[in-house]
Parts: sequence; C-alpha cells; structure tokens
Amino acid sequence: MMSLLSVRHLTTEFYSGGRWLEAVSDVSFDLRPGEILGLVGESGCGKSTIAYSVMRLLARNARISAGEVWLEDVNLTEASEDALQDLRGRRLSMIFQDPMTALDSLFTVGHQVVETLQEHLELEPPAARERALALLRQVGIPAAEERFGAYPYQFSGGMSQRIALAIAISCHPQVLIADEPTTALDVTIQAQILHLIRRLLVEEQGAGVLLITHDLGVVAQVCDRVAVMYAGKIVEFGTVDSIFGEPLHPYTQALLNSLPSQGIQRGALENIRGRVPSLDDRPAGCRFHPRCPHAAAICREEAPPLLQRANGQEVACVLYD
Amino acid sequence: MSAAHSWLGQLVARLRGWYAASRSAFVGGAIILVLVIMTATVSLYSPYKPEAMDFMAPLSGPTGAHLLGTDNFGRDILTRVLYGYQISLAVALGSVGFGLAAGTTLGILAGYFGGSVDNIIMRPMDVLMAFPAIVLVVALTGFVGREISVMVLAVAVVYVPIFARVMRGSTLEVVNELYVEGARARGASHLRLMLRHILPNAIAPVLIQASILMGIAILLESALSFIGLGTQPPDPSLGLMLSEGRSFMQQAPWMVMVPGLAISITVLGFNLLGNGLQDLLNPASRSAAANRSDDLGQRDEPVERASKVAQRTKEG
Amino acid sequence: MRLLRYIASRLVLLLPVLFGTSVLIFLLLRLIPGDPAQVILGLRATPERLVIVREELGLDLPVHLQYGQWLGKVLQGDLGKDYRSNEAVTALLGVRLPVTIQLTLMSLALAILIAVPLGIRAAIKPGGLADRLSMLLGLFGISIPDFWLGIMLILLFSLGLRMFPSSGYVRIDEDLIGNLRSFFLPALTLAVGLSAVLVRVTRSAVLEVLELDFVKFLRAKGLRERLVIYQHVLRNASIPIVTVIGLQFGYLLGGAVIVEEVFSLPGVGRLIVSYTLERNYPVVQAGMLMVAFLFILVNLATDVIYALINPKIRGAGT
Repeated sequence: MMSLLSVRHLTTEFYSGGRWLEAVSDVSFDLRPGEILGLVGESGCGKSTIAYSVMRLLARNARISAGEVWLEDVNLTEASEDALQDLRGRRLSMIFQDPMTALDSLFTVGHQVVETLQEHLELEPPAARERALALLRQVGIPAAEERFGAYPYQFSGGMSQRIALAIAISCHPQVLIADEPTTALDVTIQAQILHLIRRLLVEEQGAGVLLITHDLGVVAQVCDRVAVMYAGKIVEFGTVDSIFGEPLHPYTQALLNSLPSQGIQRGALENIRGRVPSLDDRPAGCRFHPRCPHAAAICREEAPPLLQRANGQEVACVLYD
Repeated sequence: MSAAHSWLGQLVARLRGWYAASRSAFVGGAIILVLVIMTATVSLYSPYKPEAMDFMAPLSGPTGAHLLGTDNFGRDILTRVLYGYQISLAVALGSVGFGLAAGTTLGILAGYFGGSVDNIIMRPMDVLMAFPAIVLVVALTGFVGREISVMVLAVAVVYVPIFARVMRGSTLEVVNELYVEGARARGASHLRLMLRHILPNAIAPVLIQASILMGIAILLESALSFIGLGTQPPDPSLGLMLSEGRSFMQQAPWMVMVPGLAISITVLGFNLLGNGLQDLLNPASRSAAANRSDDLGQRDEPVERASKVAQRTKEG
Repeated sequence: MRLLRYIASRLVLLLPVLFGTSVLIFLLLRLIPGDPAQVILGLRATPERLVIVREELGLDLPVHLQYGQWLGKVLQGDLGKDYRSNEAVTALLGVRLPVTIQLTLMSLALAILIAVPLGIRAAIKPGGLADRLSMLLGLFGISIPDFWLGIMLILLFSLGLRMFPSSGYVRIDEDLIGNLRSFFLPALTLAVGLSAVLVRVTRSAVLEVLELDFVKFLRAKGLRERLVIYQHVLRNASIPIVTVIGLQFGYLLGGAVIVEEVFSLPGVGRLIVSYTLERNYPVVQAGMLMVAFLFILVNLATDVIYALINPKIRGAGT
C-alpha cells in the first residue's frame, strides 16, 4: 500500500552535559492515506521528538543524526528551510497539547486563521476572510462571525483546540501530526475533538493523521493502527484490534493490564513497576529488560529487532523468535 | 623555595577557580582592586602633588616626565586622575553606604509587615523615584552647598528608594519560606526574624545592586563636578578635569580623553562585578523569568521583571 | 470606549504621585537653608527691606499655607515669576521646554532604532555577531559617562570631521535641517546609554518569547520566519521593552541636564542648573515640576501602549 509519510531509520539526538544522547533510535514506520496511526508510550519515550523531527522543528540542542523522513516524494530531512516553510501548514500540519498557549494571545483568532491562508494560498483578504469563517464554522465554533475578532483568552481550551485545528487543516494538508491534542481537555471535549479530526481529515479529505498520545483510551477510540514506543524505540506495531486483542510485547501487555477493566483512565501507564530509563542511562540489550517479568540473560546483551509475525503484527522481543 | 612555589601555585589555582566561576566578576573585581590600591597609595609613589604646577610644561602631551601629559597649568594629569579617584570613591562608598543602610531597613520593614506599613514606606519611595536622579541631586547640591558631604547625602537620597525596592522584593520572596515559618513558630521576635532569618537570605540582590550603584555614583559625582555643582577647584576631580579640559580640547585632547577614560574604566569595573555577582548569586534569575503566567497577573509580571533589569543596568 | 475608561483608571492612580511630587519639590526647596529675599535684594539688603520682600512673596506664612497658595496658582497655570528678571516662569518654560522635549524624543527614537533591531538579531542567533555587539553595547554604553561621550563626539564629528555643529541651537521653525543637525550629536550622546539598557531588555524579552508554544505553532503552520519574528514575537516582547522605555525616560530627562550643558542647548535641564546656582526658587520649582510631569505623562503613555498591545489589559481595565 502506498504511504504518505515514510519514516526510515530515524535517529534523533539531544546535546546535554557535553555529549549527544539518543532520544529516538532507529525508528521506521509508514503513515497511509485515510488512517490514524497512534504513537503511544510513556512521557520521555521519544514520541514527541519523532513529531518534531518530522516537522523539522527540533530545538536548537537537537539533531537528526541518521535516517530519512519522506513526505511522498519529498525528503524532509534534506529539505531547505524555505521548502520546509512552504510545506508546513500546506501539506504537513501539526497541533499541540496545550491549546491555550498555542495561539498568539495578542492577535484575534480570525487573524491567525487568515494569515495561514494568505501565507499558502495567495488569497485576497475578503476571500481569505470568507474561507476562515467557513473553517471556524466547520470545526464547530458557534457564532463564528461574531467571534472572528475575539482574542484567544476569550475562548475555552476546547474551543481553542478547535481553532488550532481549523488553522492546521486550512490548506488541506495530507498529513496532520497531533501531539497529545486532547490531554489538556475534559473527557467529553476530548471525544468531540477526536471525532472532529477523524471526520474532517480522514473521512472528508483522506489525509493521514499521526496521533501521539500516552493514553490508550484515545488510541482505542480513534486509531486504526498503533506503534508502541519504549525508551526511544518502537517495540510493537500493528492494528488496534490485534494489539488490543493479543498484545505480544511484555511492555504492551503491562500497559494494557494497567488499564482499569471497566473503563479507561488517564495516567494509568505509570503503574508499571520501575521507571522509564533517562536518556543518559539506557540499559544495554533490550531496553525494557530491567522492568520485564520475562527477562532472560540474552535480553541483557542483545537488542531484539522489530520482526513481523504471521498475523502481520510486528514485535521486538526474543520471546517470539 | 618549594614552599614559596606551592604557595604561589595555590594562589594561581584559586585565581583560576574564581576566573572560571565568573569571568565578568573576576575582571571587574580585578579592575577595582588595582584602582583602589593605586589610588590609596598614590602619595607614596607619585613624584607630583596634584596641585603642583609645572610652568615649564603646560599642555604637554604624554612624555617620560608626564606619562599622560599635563593640563593648562602644567599639572600632571595622571597624578590628578589618581587623586581624583579618591574623591570619586569616597562619594561612591559614602552614598552607597548610607543608601544601603537606610534603604535595606525600609525595604525589609515594608516587605515583612506588608499592608499599611508597606504603603506608608513605599508610596513616598515611588514619589522619590519619579524624579530623574540627576535632577534631584542637582537641586540638593545646588541649594544646600557644594561640599563632598552634601554630594554624598544627595546621591544617598536617590539610592534609598532603589535599595528599598530591591530589598522589599527579595524579602517578599523569602518571607514565606519554611525556615522563616519555622523560626516564627518557635516564637522568634519580629526583630530576630528579620535580622537572623530574612536579612541573610534576602540580601544578595541588594549587594548586586550596590555594586552597580557604586559605578553610577561615580558617574553622578563626575557629572555634578562637570556642571560645577560638585567638587570645586583646585581639588582634583575627574568631572572637573573634564570640564576644564573642554576649553583646550583642540590643543590638548588628552585633557578630556584621560579623565573620561578613567571614569569609564571604573564604572565598567563595577558593572562587570555587578553582572558577575548577578550570575553567581542568582543563577536562577534568567530561567525563572521564563515562566509566564497566563492570568491577569501577566501584566504586572513583565513590568516588574523589566524594571528589575532597568534598575540593574542604569539609574539616571 | 474601553480604552478611554482604562486611561481614566490609570490617571486616577497617577494623580497622587503627581501630588506627592509637587509636595516634595516644594518642601525640598523650603526646608533647605537659603533665603530668597536675600537672593533678590543681595548682600546690601536692610533687615526692613528683607521683611517687606518676604511678606510680598508670602514667605512669612506657615509652610502649608505657602504650599496651598503655590499649588492654587500652579493649577491656574501661574508658575510664579523669575526673581531676577520678574518675567513669568511660564514664558521662560515655553521657550525651554520644546528644546528638552525634542532632545529626549530624538534620542529615544535613535535608541530604539539602534537597540531593538540589534537585540532581536542577538536573540535569534545567540553567540553570533549581533549578540556580541549587543553585549559590548550593553556594557560600554552604561559605563561611559554621557558628558564625556558628548565631548568625544564633538572632538570627532565637529572639530575633526566638521560634519555637525559643536554647539548652539537652531529653532525648528527657522531651519529644519539646521535644527536636526544641531540636535543630532546631543541626541546620539543620550541615545547610547538608553540603547545599552534597551538592547539587553530586547534580547532577553525576545529570547523568552521564542521559547513559548505559540511560536512553535506559528512555525508549524508554515508562516514565514520574518512574520513570525517581526509581527508575532516582537509584539509579544514589546511589553517589557515599552516598560523599560517608560522607566528610562527619567534617565533621558536627567541626561538632558548634562547633555544640554555639553552642547549649549537652551533646555529645561540647563535652566534648572543655572537657576539653582542663583537660588531662583520659582524657576527651579517650576522646572522640576515640569520634569516630574513629563515623566508621569510618559508613564501614562506606556500604560496606554500596554493596552494597545495587549487586548487582555484593555479588557481588564474596565
């Protein structure tokens, strides 16, 4: 199947304490048109770093040290700053965790939608305004006409995230990266935003969405496939059904076991014994072995590769060799 | 021999350590130390008296006999600069000393008691701060008299509200700390709390401020003397030398260059020291400012932060 | 409407400060030794004449009544008379004030032109050339006394290169170019100190804003970097910058005292210095009141600018 976004052997490092530390190690995956791919893991596992690597918006002290990211036929890892600026917002968009700080508080929300449209689509001001209003209505801002000139502080978190989404989809991007888009919101609002993303991007436009979250509940709600990350690596990859039905990797199993049976709760991932290793303290071999109930001697020495199983699920664990 | 060696080695190691800790503070401190020593001992090594006129060599450029030249009366400029520093430093020390003592007291009281005590102390301070320092100092010295003691007091009057503000701010930061609460719970008196528990923990920003204000006091003293309201001739003062030199600046540009450079170097020294101390004593100051609140307090926060920067850098 | 109400609320806060300054100015000049009657009459004054003059000036009244009289007149626009020439002080100030205002405004403009672009570039590329330049400016600009800088500029540009006049004042309505030329060096002298402070504030404010989430989002939506920096980041960084400009305006007014002296410009600063020396109370009082008034006015202006920059302040003012 063709892929929109192809991440190949991506390795990203941070400079800290006088040396470069790997935050993301040799990660590969494909995002297909019309799917929502979940990227799930505890905080610090490198999932947001993947997002910023793809967007090429890494902090000053971070760099992509190996691998490639392709957006269809464009190699993002080698694109010029100008080319990237043109791609971002037009073919490749992103929304963030905290919608209240993602908008510039000194400009009206209308302006912030309009400036995006004008940057990429060369619209005349009246046309841009019309289109911006339509977008605000599309994402469900009530009385969009009146609220066009309002400032971000006059909106709630949920409304702000809708506005951010309107901006992100304004130029019909092929790929949307959503970095914990609902973490800061109430549960009911969460579901509304997720369904909005599915409807507007996936169903109406056939775009691909990379949804980054630490919340398995979110994954179960909207994702088609999911990659489970641990300490900078993908440990298991498959469809939501297969992974929730038959988790293979001990880490995935632990994650699912930590969910309360009757419902889904946030923050539950922290219930696994032990701690996520920090960047400068990653164990040799399989990075999960110090916390793994099935750890054997070989796990301390060899890092297992991500291999495909018969059912199409991929897993990186010696238990399945 | 080896004992001397190890002693020297230790000294060098210690100096290196200081230099590594803060280059800025080290260089600033070194400049000030050298100037103070040279100034304090000038009568021991200078072949000239500051008022001694050499009628054979008026307006002489730099020569072997007069390293930085002479003025229109043939007085040795280097000697006069070094004697001039004595007055500058005396005014700076005196005014910062008075300002610091009074301002710190007022600031700690305002911050500790808060409420109406705070208002009674700080509102007049606001009024005092509404005046450009130099205008206040000009008025005070102009009317009261042109003696060094008046200059010291006038500059001190300008400094009191600055010190009070800084001390109040840093008192507010520590007054609710656990160790203060603990001492309070053990029944410590107000005075004891302020002197033993708050003062030592809140004084650092005041000392940084003091270093910067030393430099500004030197600027103020020379400015006053320059416009004729400070040190009077024939006493050697850097500002006065500059104003006297203006009439000769085409024939003898060193008459205006040397004293101006002398002032700049000193002030630079104090500013470097102050900046260095800022980094050493308060490394969190920069990252702490990065936390931006999003409530209505947003307005006051950058304002206060900016005013801190402003105070730190220049009071005029 | 909202803005007007906001301005009114700020004004209410500033009035007590203005009142306080007027009391301070008045007391300052009354409580320190010196007898204006003696100044007017000179050393040959007889005790009888002294008493008469004091009565004429109202100096025999208790201080608070004197203050009331003075304030009453000030509020009617009567700032008193020059002891020596018997001229109205308002007329004197009418001539002097424009000079000081032009000087301070020009140096403010110069300082902003120098410091803000430099500070922004320094923040965008830490460790780069602009950053190093801004560090140097920030350090030397506040260490060099302005009167010396003025003299050095005269030495270089007036006496050396003969590009600008070394002193003197050309009225703006006589000859605009000549006027600007006569103000350029003094304004530059004053601007250096201010730009030293401003460049540091701009740099740190921009650095701080660059770290905020909304900047990431602006970049993620593909806005060109020029707009990100000069429209969004700069506007967000401008509150501390404006604050410092407001606070530093006092520095400009103070510096004007010295710089007017160096360049022989007939402004309020020089007026205060020379009339202080001859103990001409009404003139000095009025001059200081004007300086304080200007300072407070600028503070009000900064408050208004805050409100224009930040919609939240506008909203909260009501």
